[in-house]
Amino acid sequence: AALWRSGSAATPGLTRSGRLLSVGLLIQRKAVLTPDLTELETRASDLFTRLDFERSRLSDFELRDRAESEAAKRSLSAAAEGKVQVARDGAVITAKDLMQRWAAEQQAVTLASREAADPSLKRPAVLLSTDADLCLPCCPVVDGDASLRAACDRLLELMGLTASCRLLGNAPVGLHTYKYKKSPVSLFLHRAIFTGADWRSAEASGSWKWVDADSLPGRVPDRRLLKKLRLLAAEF
Amino acid sequence: MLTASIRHIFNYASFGSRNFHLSVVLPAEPLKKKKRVDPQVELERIRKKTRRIEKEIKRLEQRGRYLKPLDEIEGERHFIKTLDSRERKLPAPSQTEVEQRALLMKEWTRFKWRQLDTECQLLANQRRELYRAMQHLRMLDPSLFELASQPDESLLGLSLSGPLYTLPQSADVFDAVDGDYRDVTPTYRYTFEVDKKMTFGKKK
Repeated sequence: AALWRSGSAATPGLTRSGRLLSVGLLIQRKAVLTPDLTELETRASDLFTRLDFERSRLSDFELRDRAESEAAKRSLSAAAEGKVQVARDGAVITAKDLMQRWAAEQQAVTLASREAADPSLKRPAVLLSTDADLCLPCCPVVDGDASLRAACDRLLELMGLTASCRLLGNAPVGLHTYKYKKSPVSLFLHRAIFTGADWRSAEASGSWKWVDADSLPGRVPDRRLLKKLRLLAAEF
Repeated sequence: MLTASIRHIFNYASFGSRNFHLSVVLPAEPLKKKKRVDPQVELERIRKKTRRIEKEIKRLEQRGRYLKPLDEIEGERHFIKTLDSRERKLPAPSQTEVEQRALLMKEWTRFKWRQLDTECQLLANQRRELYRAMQHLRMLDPSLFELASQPDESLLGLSLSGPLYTLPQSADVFDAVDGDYRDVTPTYRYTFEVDKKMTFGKKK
């Protein structure tokens, strides 16, 4: 059975109590980049970092740095007074040398720019159809499907995303009822998560596109379905 | 004859001569009576000990060491002894700074409570939606409902990673080295060799 399109002829599916059974997939992609912190979160983060620092104790490295600094001061003061200092056999590399080396190594590392990245990557997204008439991938439950989960697996196979998507649970997470050509339809929504290495591979075919929560109103014409998608696709 | 022999002893073997001397008095208890040990019993004892040690090694190799309960962990003595010398001498925050911190904590607490409340409502609504879908399915087809009620065993191995702070660098900036990753972490395997005499087995 092909993908069921709401605007074209429906593929014969299973009917129960006069209702056509179908399954839809809510394929979610987690945020690729960490979201930007708000002003309050930034201030709170800075405060907690400062409090952690104030309540902490000196580490072994900091003790070593303090001891070496005091020894260096004593040497300088003794040299200023003209006293002869016996050279001690100590470590050639001091803690300060190590800190300078680490700072230099850190400067050599250049991270990719977050500003240049697509802002939509900082938010979770749902895979929707690029066709104006469609939104979610869905298909009818046919006689060959042993369960709703089997119908979802078949739908993933039709989309070519079996290897990169993982269905979460056997039970549907939502229900959307509507009429198609005066026939009542029960669309059972199942949640799936995109686990592929490259999120762009799902858009390669050109039939699907990742859409974040803000862009959902423009893509989902049905207001009831839009409300359900906003509820089910919400991130914690 | 006897007198002659005694005289001979006292002439040639007196107390100062190299042959006879008096040693220091050594107080000691009389030696214990040596018990007769049955060799079979002794061998059995050694074998039991060996078996216990081998069993313990096998258990350690399979499961690792028993971890100490957190309540019993006292911490490293080295750090406890040097606690006083590790204090940070920082200036105390000013009154203004203390007030600002208190206000920020209050604002943060309110924010997190609102966030928790929103998330709890969201969870309740999602749970209600799931319940509604399952009730509708049960009404339409009880057999499909039964199958949908089964737990999903494949969820146990699910693991996700991310999000990242930045995207990976482009190849012209940083070209990752080709090849497979080889873990060269040193591991030490203890081999316990037991004398063949102490182990069970066919004896020639």
